[in-house]
Amino acid sequence: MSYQSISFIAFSLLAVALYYLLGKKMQVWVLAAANLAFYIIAGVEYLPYLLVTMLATYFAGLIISRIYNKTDLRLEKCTEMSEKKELRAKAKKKAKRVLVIALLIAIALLAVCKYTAFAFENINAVLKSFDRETLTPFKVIMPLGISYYTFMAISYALDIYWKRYKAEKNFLYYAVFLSYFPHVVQGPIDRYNEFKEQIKDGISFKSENLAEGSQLMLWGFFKKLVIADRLGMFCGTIIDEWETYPGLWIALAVVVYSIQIYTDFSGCIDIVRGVSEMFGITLRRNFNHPYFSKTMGEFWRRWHISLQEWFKDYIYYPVSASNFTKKIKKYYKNKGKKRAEELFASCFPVLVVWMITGIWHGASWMFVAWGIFHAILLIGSQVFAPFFQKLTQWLRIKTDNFGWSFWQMTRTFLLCCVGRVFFRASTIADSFGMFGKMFSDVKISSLFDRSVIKALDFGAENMVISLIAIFVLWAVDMLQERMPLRKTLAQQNLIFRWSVIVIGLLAVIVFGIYGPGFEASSFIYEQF
Amino acid sequence: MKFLKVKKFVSAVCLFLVIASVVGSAQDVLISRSEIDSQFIPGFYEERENSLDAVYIGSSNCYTTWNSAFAFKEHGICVYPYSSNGQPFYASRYLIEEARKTQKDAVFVVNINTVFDDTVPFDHFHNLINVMPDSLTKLRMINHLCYMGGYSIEDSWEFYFPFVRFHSRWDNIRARDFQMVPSTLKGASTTHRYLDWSSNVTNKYVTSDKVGELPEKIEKSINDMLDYCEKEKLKVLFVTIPQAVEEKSRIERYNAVNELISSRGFDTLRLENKLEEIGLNLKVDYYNGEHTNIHGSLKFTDYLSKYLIEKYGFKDKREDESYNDWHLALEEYSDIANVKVLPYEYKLSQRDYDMGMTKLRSEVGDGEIELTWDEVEEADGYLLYRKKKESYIWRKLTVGEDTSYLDTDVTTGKGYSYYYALVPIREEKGTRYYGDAYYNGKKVKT
Repeated sequence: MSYQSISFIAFSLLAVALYYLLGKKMQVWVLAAANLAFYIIAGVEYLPYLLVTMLATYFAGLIISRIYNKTDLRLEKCTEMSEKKELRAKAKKKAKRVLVIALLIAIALLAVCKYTAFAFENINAVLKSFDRETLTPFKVIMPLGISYYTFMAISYALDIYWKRYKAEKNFLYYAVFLSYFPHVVQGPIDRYNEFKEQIKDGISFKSENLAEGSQLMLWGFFKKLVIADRLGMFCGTIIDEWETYPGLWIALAVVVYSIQIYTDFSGCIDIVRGVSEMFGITLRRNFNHPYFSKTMGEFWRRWHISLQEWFKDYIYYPVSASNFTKKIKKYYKNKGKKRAEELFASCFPVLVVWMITGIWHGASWMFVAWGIFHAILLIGSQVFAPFFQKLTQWLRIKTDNFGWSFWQMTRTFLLCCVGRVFFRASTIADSFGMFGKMFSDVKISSLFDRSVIKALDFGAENMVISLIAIFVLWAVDMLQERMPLRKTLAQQNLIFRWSVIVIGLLAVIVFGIYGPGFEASSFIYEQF
Repeated sequence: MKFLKVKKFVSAVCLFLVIASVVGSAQDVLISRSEIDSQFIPGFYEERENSLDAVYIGSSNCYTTWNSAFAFKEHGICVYPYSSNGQPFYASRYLIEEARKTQKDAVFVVNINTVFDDTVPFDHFHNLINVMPDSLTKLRMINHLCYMGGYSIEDSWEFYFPFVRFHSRWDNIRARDFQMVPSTLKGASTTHRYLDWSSNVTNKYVTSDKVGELPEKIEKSINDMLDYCEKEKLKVLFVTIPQAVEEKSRIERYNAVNELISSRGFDTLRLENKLEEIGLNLKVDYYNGEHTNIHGSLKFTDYLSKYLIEKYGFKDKREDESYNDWHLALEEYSDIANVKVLPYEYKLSQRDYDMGMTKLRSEVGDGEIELTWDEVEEADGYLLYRKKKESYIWRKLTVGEDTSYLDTDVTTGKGYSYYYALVPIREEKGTRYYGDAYYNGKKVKT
């Protein structure tokens, strides 16, 4: 069931209605039933995979909690410091074993489902180069949302292990969290304690939840159906056949793709957050107007926030605090290389995070290249930061004005666009081919070439709608930077509020790219 | 506190109603409802309550074979086609229910010809639902048609909310989309194909006595319809019109459906093998294998009118002042029809369908056009018509026994065109009988 379908809207409204009508005590059951129905509609064959990860991490949490509780009881009776230290170390070791088993199960499932084909592809490429017989890959299915719920399950198990909160005893709550239909397909990647805190006592009906939730959904549909899918028709045509288009058109398509992917992903997230708000459950924010970022570091704090925070909490910090990192830091410290020590401490975890981020996004060398690209940018910004600071001072460039901010935002956006080439191209060869053409085939006149415009079959009306919609997007994002927009809207007069809603809805219904006659364009991030 | 809750609830309901009316209005504009053959159903709702003798339910087969203006002109009966292009047969039960809301006492004539189609193509589906007013009957009909058409839930949304399919028409909106104009011609067709085309479909005509297999789903749908008609004690006549469709499987399906309907005690009128009796000429009376043109429908309408009058005792309403709107419609329609129909075609009681036909040959001379033709065995003479422009009415040029005519009332050398049509005739006991002509005539360019 696609998030952009009428079936999904009807399903959500029915679930919301039952959620409030059946009372607080039944709410978690209603959510469980809705999640189960959603997942079964997607494919009943996916259920076992979800259940295995769910049960592995649930029981791991219980066992780890039990280990810690038993240890705490023993510690109370213990008086010797050395005995206490030994008890803690033993408990940690036991807990670690359980944790590792649970994580291995979850990660192995993810790896097998997601990377089997990729592994076989590469093994066969090597075998072919040695003229050996290739292997036949076995078929695996890709369970719905496996990348997302696996990360949520891992975060739960690790949080229990790190004693951030106690394990959940009630399996129903944990099951509802992991399979929660608004976030199971493409995030945001939530944390169990935040989720549980909101639903544990039941949620009272508030009309504001319905109003604001539906407004957020409407905004999400506008971004996805009016902007993203429309722009997708434009840039998809060019990027898929880049060899036949002039360089400037390819560059334009890459820029447009950057807007498409933002509106596609953030649109979907707004839809699911809107649905969740109607249940009275606030999901993690995933986007914070990333194209207003002035540096790549800031960009990654504003884009796919829940994933970046997951990597920060579960990869970056652990790697930073790992024994290996400590050893290297100590090595540089002993050599008196403070700068090297600082750089290694900040850059090595970044490299690890981005290698994993790349491969998480997809089983393809394209995504690995994309991850390495961003790692280089982030590491580069750290390494060269003092140099750039001196340069701006030497050139007497004022950095506290709009012009400099605009330059920074533009530079950051264009650097993202460069990365998008790897993200969107079919192969690495294609991505370099596109770069080559963008810089070699540069004719301003090609932008006015009628034959190219005709071949695109995009139409002046689509161009106008796109420009107006992007302007609206920019205006809303600007306003959101300055004020809580939905709360501000709620304070306006009735006619203004209703006009905004009716016009917004009409715009989605009339100008949205959906329905028979348009190719079903699924969400870009759904494939992960 | 309670007052605030009530206020919010009322506000939400009002907003919902505002949204529904705005979206509904936008949808009405976006749906393409302004095509000529989409206007019959809206026109039906303009009819006075309980004023119709019968309602004719079916697809384009209805309004191309039945001409309600002719029926009123010749026989004074009022039979309106509740029909749309490609109207699914499986909708009939609900359309009867719908039509009964305003025409309780009418007889229902149901055309079964579309029952050959096991599917419900989306465009035919929309042709019907886009012009029907919203009602529970319509909703139940949509449910049923989605089931019969095998549409998934996802694919069904466009029928409940047509904007799903038609929203992208925003860049094609025309002025006429803002207002749906119902037919004022009582359902008489004015499509270009119906008025102007004539095609020889003789080779496509097939017959069969075999009774085909009825799929279970279709059998159940028909039985449900018959159950409804039985329960409501309705007068219903199921008609199979003659077509030239090449596929014997269709005829075999008609046989099966008619057998089922008859076995349930309902009246059927099987006209598929009655071409001669009706007088339909496969060479000139059809514009394609499935549809008669205006010439064929004149004959068909006359035949069916006489049948209905005899069976149901419909009264002649031509002198009834309350039916002045039918006279007005007839007057309006005559202006359209008279430039297409040869004057003798209205003399239905003086038609001889057994007479052969002959084609005209022409030769343009200096200030003259010579027309020649082959003799028709059964004919005593020939009636020649002419018009100077396609939009003019046919005028009698000459009548005689010769098989040639020299038209000197022409201007040649200036690129003018003249149209000629030839009808074989015979005289019997002082009455002239007319055969069939190539109705579109022969165009001679000078």
